[in-house]
Amino acid sequence: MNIEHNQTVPADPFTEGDVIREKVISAGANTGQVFEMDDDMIFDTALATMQVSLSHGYS
Amino acid sequence: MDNAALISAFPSKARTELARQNFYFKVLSSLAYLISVGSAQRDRPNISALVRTPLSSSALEPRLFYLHDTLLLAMRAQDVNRVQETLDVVEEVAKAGMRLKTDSIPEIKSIGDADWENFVVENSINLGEEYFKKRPEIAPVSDDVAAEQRGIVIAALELIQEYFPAMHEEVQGLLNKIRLFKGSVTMGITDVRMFGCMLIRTPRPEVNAQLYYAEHITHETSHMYLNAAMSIDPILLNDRSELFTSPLRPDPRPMIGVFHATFVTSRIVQLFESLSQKWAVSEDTNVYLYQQLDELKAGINEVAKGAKLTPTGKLLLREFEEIAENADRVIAKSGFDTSKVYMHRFGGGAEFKPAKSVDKSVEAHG
Repeated sequence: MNIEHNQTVPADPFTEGDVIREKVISAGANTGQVFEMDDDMIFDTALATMQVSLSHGYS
Repeated sequence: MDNAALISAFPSKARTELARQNFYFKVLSSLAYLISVGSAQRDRPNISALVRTPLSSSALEPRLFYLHDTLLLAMRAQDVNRVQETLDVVEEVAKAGMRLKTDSIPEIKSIGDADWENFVVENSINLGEEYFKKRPEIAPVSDDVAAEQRGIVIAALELIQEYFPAMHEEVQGLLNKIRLFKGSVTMGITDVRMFGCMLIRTPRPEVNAQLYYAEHITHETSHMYLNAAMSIDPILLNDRSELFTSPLRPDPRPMIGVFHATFVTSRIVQLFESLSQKWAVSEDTNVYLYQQLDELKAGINEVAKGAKLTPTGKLLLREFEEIAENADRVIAKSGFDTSKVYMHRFGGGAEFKPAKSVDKSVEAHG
């Protein structure tokens, strides 16, 4: 799922959305995936945190 | 203990702010990235700049965290329609303002039927059934009940403010919405996909409602803090498929769950240690402290045996031990009879069953 970086500094997601979009389109053209994502740019709370806390109420 | 630590079991306003801002930045950066990825399809306008927001003391809408997760899952599933629908909602929320108005008291009302509330409730019911082998009931409370409980929740917040002011500062920094429910099996829920909000079940009639809420608010806020802090440092490196004994729940849990439970209990013990010494209104505080301390020791035992900790994680474990030692001294000094059998503080007719004391071999870990 990872796309290759063609630069050492990744694009700023807030200000360089068009750069990111072009990379996604170009990576998707090679793989056939519509949403080709770079996992390094994603903050996946399921992996980084304890996503859900559910206390036990004893009834 | 080193109070200059960036992450600590001892709450502080500065540490709360550091963890919160780091967590916000990570989620918003990720959201901006996902928006750009999503806009590559159907060549829709790229609105990633809309979620750029300056550092601010005001909180982000809990719904944004839900939308971030929904967008990520829809993209991973290559679900074009779901991605486009979610981007429409993100745009609507971003244009309406992603920040909440600052208020010193969280918004307290019944669980409602917003998309993010429905998602969290449904997910919690399914997870509860999986974990506890009993399907939790999570239902709205009436306006009258919510109004009555709101007064008790505010009294609980005031209790925290007076007797554990650093914890209250953390509550103020992280907690924006409390949603009350009636039901069974589970009592308190936090989910990073509604960061800033917690769900609390209304207490049984036989328990001290003010203490119940004080404990649960401290508990759930501490989960929020630790989750935010984990965006700075992973704290523990265990594989999530390994299961351990939890100090607070009957089901085996991955170490992240055991560590979280131990962390939040260390906060609750600090609160009740203070109440036990300084708040003469209720003798229940000693019963609460005795039970919470037992749970903390059980958690320390399990963390010390099984956790693969980063240096920050090791520091936290030493803090847990310091907190337990202090509380032990307070219990001993109070003359509280630890040989008696007590009912569980959450009511329901259950006896409290103490876990084994912390192993000496574990206490001596490095």
